[in-house]
Amino acid sequence: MATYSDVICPFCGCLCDDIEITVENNKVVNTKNSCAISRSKFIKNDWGRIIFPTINGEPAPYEKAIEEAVKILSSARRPLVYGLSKTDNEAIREAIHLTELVGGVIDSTTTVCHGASIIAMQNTGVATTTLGEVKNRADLIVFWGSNPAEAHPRHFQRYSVTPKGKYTPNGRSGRYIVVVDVRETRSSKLADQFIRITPNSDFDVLQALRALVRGQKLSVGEVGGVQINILEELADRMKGAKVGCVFYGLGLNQSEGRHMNVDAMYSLVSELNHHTKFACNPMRGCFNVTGANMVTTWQTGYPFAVDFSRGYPRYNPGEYTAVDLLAREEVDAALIMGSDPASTFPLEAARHLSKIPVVTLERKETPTSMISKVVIPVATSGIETDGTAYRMDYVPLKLRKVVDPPQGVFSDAVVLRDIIERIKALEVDSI
Amino acid sequence: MVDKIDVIILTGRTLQQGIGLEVGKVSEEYSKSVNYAEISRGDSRALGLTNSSPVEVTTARGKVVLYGRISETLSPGLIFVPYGPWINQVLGPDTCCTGTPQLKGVPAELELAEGKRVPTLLDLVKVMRGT
Repeated sequence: MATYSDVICPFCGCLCDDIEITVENNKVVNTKNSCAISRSKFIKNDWGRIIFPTINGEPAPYEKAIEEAVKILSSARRPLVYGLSKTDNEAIREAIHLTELVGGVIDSTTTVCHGASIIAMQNTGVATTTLGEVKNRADLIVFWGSNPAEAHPRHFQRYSVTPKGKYTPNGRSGRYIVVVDVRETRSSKLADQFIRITPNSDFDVLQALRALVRGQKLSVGEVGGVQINILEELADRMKGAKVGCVFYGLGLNQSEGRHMNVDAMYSLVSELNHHTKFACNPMRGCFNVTGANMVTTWQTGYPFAVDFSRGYPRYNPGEYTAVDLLAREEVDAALIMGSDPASTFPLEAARHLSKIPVVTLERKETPTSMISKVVIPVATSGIETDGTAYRMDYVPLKLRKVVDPPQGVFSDAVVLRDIIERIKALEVDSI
Repeated sequence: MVDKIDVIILTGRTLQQGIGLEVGKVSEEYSKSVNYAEISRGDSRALGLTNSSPVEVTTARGKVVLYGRISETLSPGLIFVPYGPWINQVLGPDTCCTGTPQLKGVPAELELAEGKRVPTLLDLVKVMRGT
């Protein structure tokens, strides 16, 4: 039996780095400090694993599966490489290299989570901060359209609500917590103030708040279902905070208005910085979706939705984003890794995946693996492999391997490198 | 009692969904965590819904049968369904040039689905394949 301390949890964007893992006979048998989801990820790591590659649902040797993947990707006219967010930066780098080689399009799960937020960031600029700064300095926290008690279960405890920091010695009692959402949630129950807004009214409420922060008087009684005096009080509270931070979720950018809602949020925060120190961070879901954006930006200059069909990177959300490409039936092959788009995309987009040859790198059976021509099992990033990942506040951290992967199962990066080497060899042969 | 109610679909994450998906997409834990709709007490009463009986959600994009769960906190006119392949049957792929489909705040009709079966994950894969 071996015990590992300070292990990083590879579930959500919090990347909690204080997990204690006990391993017996190459299996995680206990965890400490982990949330219920993290515990499920570690303890059930070996449940239902894919342990050999398949082609058309039939078992195949690894080499044969790689060959088939090479054939699919190198013969496609417009291949899509999609996912990236549940793997490490090293694998993401290889995925970008592969996409460039085959002249494809690469996109990450960002596209169905904070993609619209990134478009807004590019419009407005961002006032960002680290979670350490929040813990040590922030006395006002606003959760807008986010429900960390269910999606990021230890965010409250480690970073934003209860921890005692250098300039926040009283912990929970020294912070005022506001939740703005369209429904009551586990998070709203823990807040000092819950403001319920009407669905699809985020833009209106944020613009009203922005006007109030600028000192303007509004001649209406309510906006988005919220009485104006409540918004006036919130505007004053925000201006009066020593340090404030908004953590916003998908309630903003998956509703009507998409990026314009987030644009309004960043504009409000920009306005608040005329009065005090205020920051704004998205609550990122998959553990390395931030890494997917960061690595794609180093390598191509763009954070997601990158097209290499002309031999150089081009960026255009709506045109090179995975849901749009699939719904328009533009792509003729796909490599999926670190995600399950057949589950997470609207049916009309996911359906095209069942009509084209798909290569999936996956740990466990999913609807995407079920409709794939080639499935290659991979190691669990952050449990069975080392590597690096970005926390939701853009801080890179080193993941730690605590158990070995099943025999004959390799990391995403190794599998991608094997595909890349063979595609390069094809190109040499064809010269 | 009414036959149908106009509602707005809200989707999102839940703790049980996170736990279920980390066990595995083909696990019972996962299916149970995402194949239901939370419905307000008022709307449940209006429809005559009893807990866990099937309901049908219809949007401009299609229909899906889910288990109905009575919620004490949700406002009338709203339903909440965890993210997953069930609710994705009725959400559209239009991204308004952002890449992100509208997964929240989608108008729908809600009715009881007596005699109809909530699909399994394999049923949904068949729908995707068109088989």
